[in-house]
Amino acid sequence: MTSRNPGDPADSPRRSDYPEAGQGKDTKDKSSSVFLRPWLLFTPRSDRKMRSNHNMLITMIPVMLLFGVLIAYLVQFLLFKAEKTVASPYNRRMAEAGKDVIRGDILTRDGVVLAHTDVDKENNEYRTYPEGSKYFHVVGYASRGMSGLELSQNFELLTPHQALSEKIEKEVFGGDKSRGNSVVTTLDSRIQKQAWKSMKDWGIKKGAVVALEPSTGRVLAMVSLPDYDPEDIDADWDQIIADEGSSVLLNRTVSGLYPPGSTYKTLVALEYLREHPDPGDFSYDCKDGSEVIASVKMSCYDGQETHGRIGFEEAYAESCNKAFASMAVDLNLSEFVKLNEEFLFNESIDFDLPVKKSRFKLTRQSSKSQIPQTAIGQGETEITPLHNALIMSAVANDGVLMKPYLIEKVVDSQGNTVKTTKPREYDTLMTGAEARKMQELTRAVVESGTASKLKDADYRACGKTGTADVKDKTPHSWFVGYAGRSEGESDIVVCVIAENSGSGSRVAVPIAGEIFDEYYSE
Amino acid sequence: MIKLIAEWSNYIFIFMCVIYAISCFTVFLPSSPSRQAGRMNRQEFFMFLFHFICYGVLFAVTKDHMVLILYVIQAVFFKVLIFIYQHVYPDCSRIMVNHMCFLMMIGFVMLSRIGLKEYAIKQFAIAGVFSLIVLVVPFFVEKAIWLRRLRWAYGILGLAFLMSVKVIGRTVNGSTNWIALGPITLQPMEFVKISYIFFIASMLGRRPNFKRIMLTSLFCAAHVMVLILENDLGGALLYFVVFILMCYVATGRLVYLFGGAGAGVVAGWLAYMARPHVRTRFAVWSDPFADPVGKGYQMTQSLFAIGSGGWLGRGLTQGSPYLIPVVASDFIFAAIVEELGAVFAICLILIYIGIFIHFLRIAMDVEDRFYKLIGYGFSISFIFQVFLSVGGVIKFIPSTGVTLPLVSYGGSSVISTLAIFGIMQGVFMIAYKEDQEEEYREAGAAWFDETRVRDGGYMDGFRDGYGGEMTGVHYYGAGSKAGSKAGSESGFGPDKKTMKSENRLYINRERAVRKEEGRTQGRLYISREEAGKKKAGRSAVHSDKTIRRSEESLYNSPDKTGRIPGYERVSRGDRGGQGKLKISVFGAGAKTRAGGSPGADDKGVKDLEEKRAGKYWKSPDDF
Repeated sequence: MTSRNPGDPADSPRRSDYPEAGQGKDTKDKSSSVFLRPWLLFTPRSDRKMRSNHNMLITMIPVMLLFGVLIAYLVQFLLFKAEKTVASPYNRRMAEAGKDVIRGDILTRDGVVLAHTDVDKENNEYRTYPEGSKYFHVVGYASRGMSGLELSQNFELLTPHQALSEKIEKEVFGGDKSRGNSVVTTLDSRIQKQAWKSMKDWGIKKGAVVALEPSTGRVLAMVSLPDYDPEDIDADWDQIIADEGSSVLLNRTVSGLYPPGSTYKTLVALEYLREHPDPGDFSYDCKDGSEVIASVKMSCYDGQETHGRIGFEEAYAESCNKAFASMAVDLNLSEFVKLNEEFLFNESIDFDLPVKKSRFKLTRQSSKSQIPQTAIGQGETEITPLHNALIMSAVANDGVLMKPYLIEKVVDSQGNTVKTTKPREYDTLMTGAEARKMQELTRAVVESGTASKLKDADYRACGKTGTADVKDKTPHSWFVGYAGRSEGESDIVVCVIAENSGSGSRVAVPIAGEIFDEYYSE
Repeated sequence: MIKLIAEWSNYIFIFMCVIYAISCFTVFLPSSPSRQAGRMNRQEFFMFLFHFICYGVLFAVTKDHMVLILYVIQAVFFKVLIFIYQHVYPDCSRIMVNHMCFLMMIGFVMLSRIGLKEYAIKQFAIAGVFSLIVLVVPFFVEKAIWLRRLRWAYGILGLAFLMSVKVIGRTVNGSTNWIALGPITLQPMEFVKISYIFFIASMLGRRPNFKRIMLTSLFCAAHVMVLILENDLGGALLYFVVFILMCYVATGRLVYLFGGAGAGVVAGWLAYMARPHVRTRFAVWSDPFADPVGKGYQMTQSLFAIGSGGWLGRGLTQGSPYLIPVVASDFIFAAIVEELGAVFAICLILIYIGIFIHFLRIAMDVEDRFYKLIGYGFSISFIFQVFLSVGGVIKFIPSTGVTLPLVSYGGSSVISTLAIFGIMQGVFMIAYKEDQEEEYREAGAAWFDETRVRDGGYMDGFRDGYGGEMTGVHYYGAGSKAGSKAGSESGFGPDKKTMKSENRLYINRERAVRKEEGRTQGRLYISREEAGKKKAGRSAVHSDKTIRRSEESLYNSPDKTGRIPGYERVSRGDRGGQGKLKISVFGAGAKTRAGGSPGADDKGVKDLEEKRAGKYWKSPDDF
């Protein structure tokens, strides 16, 4: 150690038997630019400038942020995702919980038991479905894997909700297994029964019906054909699996993808209205035979129908393909694509059952020749019946789409409510003015168009028919509409699709009519 | 009945863990030593209570006498461990000991629940033996100043050990990162982690230049490459992050941070393209439900466990953690959430963060660059490992198969983590010693200046004798070990290293008699006027025993002189200090010996003391 003056500021207070930084090159040329001497960037700072503690504190910030996000992730998982995750059929914990808990019931809103577990004297449990095949797809089954609400509500059904005193009593004195919560659905047994019966009466082998309340999003009925009695499913499992063509297990209301046919004209008409606030100018001369529009040969129903000179409203009411194709080719494509995105195409719909994404293949770059077929709902567009019903419910509910839901509430085995679903807005899809114009159009379909069979009913029905061509087969028959007691009201939306059954007006409209009749029969 | 007990005891655990987690952070607030001591005692109480109730529930459920025996042995072990730390290392950080014990307790409880015979007993045996063995580590780190000179030895030996798995390796869970030595299997990555950080710290702790940095990064890159080839992705990521952050702190240049991060992204992308193992992990992370019975099985089971545990957990023994593969080691966090609940688990994360902040504080306190970097390296590696483990389990990041420090099952992991705690205790004590040296140096400098004014001739001799550096003076301090050792020989003699002159300085303190605070440690507060401003908040902790010994030897010394009123100051926080000490600084005298410099006589010293009393030393009222 050399002798230095202790007052000298350069004298480090530390013993320096350990070499310290401080004489680095960068201290000499402070004035020179980093651009001229890029290596300065790499030269370690001199000891006094290094500020190690400061840098350590700085690196603490990202660490803290990282952990903040980590904890936030855990919290959001528990808040929003845990329940759905736990309900997975792969969760063996639920099966284990099933050993201690008797599965809860599934009921309709008006109290009809759809699924119940009976326990016999030897404590064997049997899952019974008193309503048989009527609710097959929506309720699902709980053996051989699970489906429908049995799957999506698995967690609730196996979760007993007990008062503490009861719990203590059970623990201390033993006793029966506790019962899981019951799930009360929004389904209306009258509507469901009528929908199912009408489909059967009309001899429909394959098809689907969705009925919902446009003002709340409550699903009133969900029928999918072909169906099966869930109590037989265990016994007939191998046969069902082997028979690939019938697709018995497919819930067509949420997983069936169909070409929308003319029901799709609703969206074309809406886009046209947006671009032409006064559609009175529109006129089209529908002549015999086919016409080439944007290099595609187009014709109306059966290739024979002619509508003559028609305006905008008649074109919609009578479902004139040529008029809509010519209307569509002039639309602003990018706006039109945007509209479809807003109307939930290519998007997953949040619902109590898993819903397949509807497909819309046009993009902003698509060629014009793809437009005419798309405009009449043929093309490559595919839609689920539930989705189609939702579009109509937005029209019926003055442009506001309510989030569809199937679970009215969850009650415990004593009947006390554990939780209730509140109606929630999904999105506002159109303005009130647009919705009112669309309502006029859909009313015209009933008054003077393809759904005139509903004209004389006590209620005021509106809607749109569709006939979706299928290659080499009879076309699918669509109707999607709503009804209210008077103008400006809407109580129920019904969407009917009957596969390979002919035109919309011939099959789907009367089926929907019967459902409306039943709804207003009280 | 048992179910009910398990559920309700859970609420107690959660309550205790919340309080414990809060106390992890409140210790950083300024407060009096007695409150601080209260916190420590409360923490200790809570953790023993937690341990007791957990094993009570386990016993009630299993009715296995092994559980009781294990409990008793563990409880005694923890009490003894805490006792030893307090008495062997009175200057150690008590909160770190508490955290270490609490984490081990949580781990033991969970392992006893998952598999008493398979995991818990073995884990306890390893952790028990090694936590006693690592008791020498703080002492070793404090004494072994040659540690910093090993530089390349760390790098080369570490790399060789890491590569040994290629020769005697074993593949477990898709990663070839185990070696088998007879019946013992080891995970070299856990041990090499320590040598790796020592390597970086010794390389960059010297005056770093570009060439040295490049050499170091080459070696570190080799470590990371070996780990990637062993499919130990978590390890590779950990080593990588530790290096770039240490490099940034060692150089103060952001270029290394961003350059390193860029290189890391490129390397990660290459690994993704070249290693199917990486791709699988990534695919499982992005959608575990794509293959819930195959590749995604572990991930989905983990999510089921977390989901069914919920906020409050299903109660100890009421869940089904054994459904998750590797639950005892990599996925223990999922088991904790399932049975003890997410609130408990979040508190556990907070405790880890508390330890991280504590580690970081130690790194910031210590002045020596080598120890600074070591402290920083371990804090980063510790917290990042927690992040990888927890993040992987809750599907925040792809699972990398990293253990949760001190909680997960795994001998290598627990041994290396215990060693890291030992090293950090050592660094903590070094930081404390430095602190203390500064106190003494300042006090000595004050005295020195004053003496020089009064008796220039003498002080010049003094100064010459010490080469003009004040660093020697601190060894006279009564509190430090060196001081008391010297003191036992001849009052308070100078440290042998600096004993170039016979001049002596006496600084001592008096213990305040405060019964309510009469715990085993005390504090020394010495300062002078300038220091009061500059160094406010500096203080040092001494064990009761040290102080008493020092005091005795002072009073027995012939040089007892006048005294100067001392003062108290606010304590500084986390030292784990217990009890306050009122300090008086005793007169400083210097003695003339043959061959030494001329010294001041008793009268001169007394004059000095009087003068200094008014001038240099502040009384508590002035402060």
